[in-house]
Amino acid sequence: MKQKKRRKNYLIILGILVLTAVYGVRVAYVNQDNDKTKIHYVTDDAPVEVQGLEITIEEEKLYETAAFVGEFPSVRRNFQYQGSFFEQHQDEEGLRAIEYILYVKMRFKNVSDELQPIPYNDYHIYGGVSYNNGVNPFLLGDLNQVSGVSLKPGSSYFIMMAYEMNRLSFHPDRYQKLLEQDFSIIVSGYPDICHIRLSHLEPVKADREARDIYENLVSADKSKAPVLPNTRQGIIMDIGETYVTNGVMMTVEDYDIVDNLNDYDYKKLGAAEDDGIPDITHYTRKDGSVKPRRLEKGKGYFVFVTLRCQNTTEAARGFSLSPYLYNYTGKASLEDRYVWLGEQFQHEKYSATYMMEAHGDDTVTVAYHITADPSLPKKLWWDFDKPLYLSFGIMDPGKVDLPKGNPGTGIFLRIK
Amino acid sequence: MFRFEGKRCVRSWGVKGAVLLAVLLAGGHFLGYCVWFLVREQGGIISREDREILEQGAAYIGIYPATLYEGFIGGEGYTFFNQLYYYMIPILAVLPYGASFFQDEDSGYLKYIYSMKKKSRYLLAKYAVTFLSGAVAAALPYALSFAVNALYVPAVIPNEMAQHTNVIDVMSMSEFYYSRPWIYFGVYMAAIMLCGGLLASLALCITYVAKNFFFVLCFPFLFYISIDYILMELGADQYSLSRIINPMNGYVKLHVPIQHVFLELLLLGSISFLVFIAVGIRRERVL
Repeated sequence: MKQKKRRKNYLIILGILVLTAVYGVRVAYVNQDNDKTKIHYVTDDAPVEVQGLEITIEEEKLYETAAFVGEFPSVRRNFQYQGSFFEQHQDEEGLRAIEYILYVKMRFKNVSDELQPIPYNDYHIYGGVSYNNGVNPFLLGDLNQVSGVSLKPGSSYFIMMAYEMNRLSFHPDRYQKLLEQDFSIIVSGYPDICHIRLSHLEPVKADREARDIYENLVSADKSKAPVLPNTRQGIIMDIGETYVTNGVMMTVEDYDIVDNLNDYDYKKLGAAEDDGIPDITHYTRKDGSVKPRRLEKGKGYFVFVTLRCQNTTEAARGFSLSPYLYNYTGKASLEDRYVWLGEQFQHEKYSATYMMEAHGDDTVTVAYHITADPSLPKKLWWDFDKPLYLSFGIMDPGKVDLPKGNPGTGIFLRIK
Repeated sequence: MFRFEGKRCVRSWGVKGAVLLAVLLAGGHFLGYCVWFLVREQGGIISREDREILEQGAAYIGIYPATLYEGFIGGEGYTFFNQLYYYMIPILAVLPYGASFFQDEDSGYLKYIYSMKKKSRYLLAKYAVTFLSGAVAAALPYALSFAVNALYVPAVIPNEMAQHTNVIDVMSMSEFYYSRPWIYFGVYMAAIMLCGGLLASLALCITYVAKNFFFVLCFPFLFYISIDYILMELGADQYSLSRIINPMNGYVKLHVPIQHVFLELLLLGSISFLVFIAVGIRRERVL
């Protein structure tokens, strides 16, 4: 009896040992590729070659934000409280919390045989072990005056990267000693994760003039707060209704659908503004008619929508002007758009933000190029006898069902 | 006395119940996360789409394998098992030995014990064993899930670029999360154990006024969710027990340093200890 019990105990122990060994082998197998996630750090003293691009760090500075806006006037509107997202939410402190800008000037050289795009939006900054941030695309566009850069083999280009160091995103102790943090920029991902360590960060303090400029930008003037609330998300507005964003009202004044593009008189639209979106003149014939690219005769359309924009506030307002055109089935026009701005708008090339002066009242015309897709059944082509919508705001396309009146989280304005 | 109570605890049906629940939770999470989400939905530790990009020779920033630290019941938020686990903690904690004091009183066994042993020794041993059993039972699914999911998900350090959770620099212990995640989750395991022990000891305290076995069993759960509700109404829900012990709760990590979490748990644990011992020693009437 005792022997039987002892044997049973031995078997149990053996079973446990075997299971433990099997478990250990399996876990070791699952973890065999863990080294691929190790970060490989390189110094900023020498160029580093990654995916056909040779990257050199030419400058690295930690600016006080006031110093940054003082040195780079083109970025000032990104720190303007009036007309900003912060003003909409009465959050002056939120804007002031961006106390530093980490600036890195990177030179890229194409050392491959192919055209190489520069994926600068992917180059996140890492601080210590737990902070990371991407580059602000509006800041990047204003700083560099570019929107998407590709390099031919052998050519080089520099990009100025500006990372906002927001106090609210950092642990307070680490923010106090920001210059001492171990900053690096990721330039390559899994399975060869590579960071360029920024070991020569130079602090740049603001002088008095820069501080004055900065204070003027970030200070709230409560008398200029917008009166109208923004249009809420999850709405389908009817013909004639008004879309409101950041104190600017937009209504559809007119629309025009042109299906014979070869004969369209481009001059009807008046002077066109070259705002950095694909150059309309490239597609304009000598007689002024427009020929969009990829057009097959009789199978393409232009939908021209004229929006009347009114700034109801006492300050210049920035807003995004990139509504998509949707047909009644919920299909969006994803092809080229062309924009003609009235005189009361300001817009810089490659910027996603349009500015309208205080109490401004003017029109903007947006032209949507629609091509019919012969690979789709005809019933899915655009039917211009049916309703058309403009879409503003962010949404999940999967939840939109316009025929059933479901806008998801989008903002739709019916134009037809 | 402690050893005696310990043996009683280990042999109780409640321990088996707690182990079974832990196995079900951990097993359910493995099926829900590893099998259904990773294998079926995503196509593996690295998603199908990401693997196609990698096979083309690109090193795309943002691709990162699933990690065990974000892939076990305490560290992930894709399946509902994380929430289910944290709401089952009071049940898990009380099962092994929480109602034993009530049973001892109800059966008359307590009179016998008090006639043989010093009251304070019994009460201390009872509290210690109940606290420990609650601590272990509460943390068992957490540890089991980690061990089981390690069979499929690699234990790579989480990466901010490919993060599937919401730990940012400003949060408590964020530096550990991205460098030594085993410390991060180990600390939370300690918090869960403290909370489990505290909840189990609440069952001991309520025995003094309870007249029903099931009420004693349910009391820790009722207390747990009541505290949630009361603190929510007071605008202090960042201190609710179910939130402070959950490493996935970003709101708490932003507003409550980990030291405050332990302070709260130790404070509540001390109160339950003092109540149980003080009342127990002074109490003359035994049901």
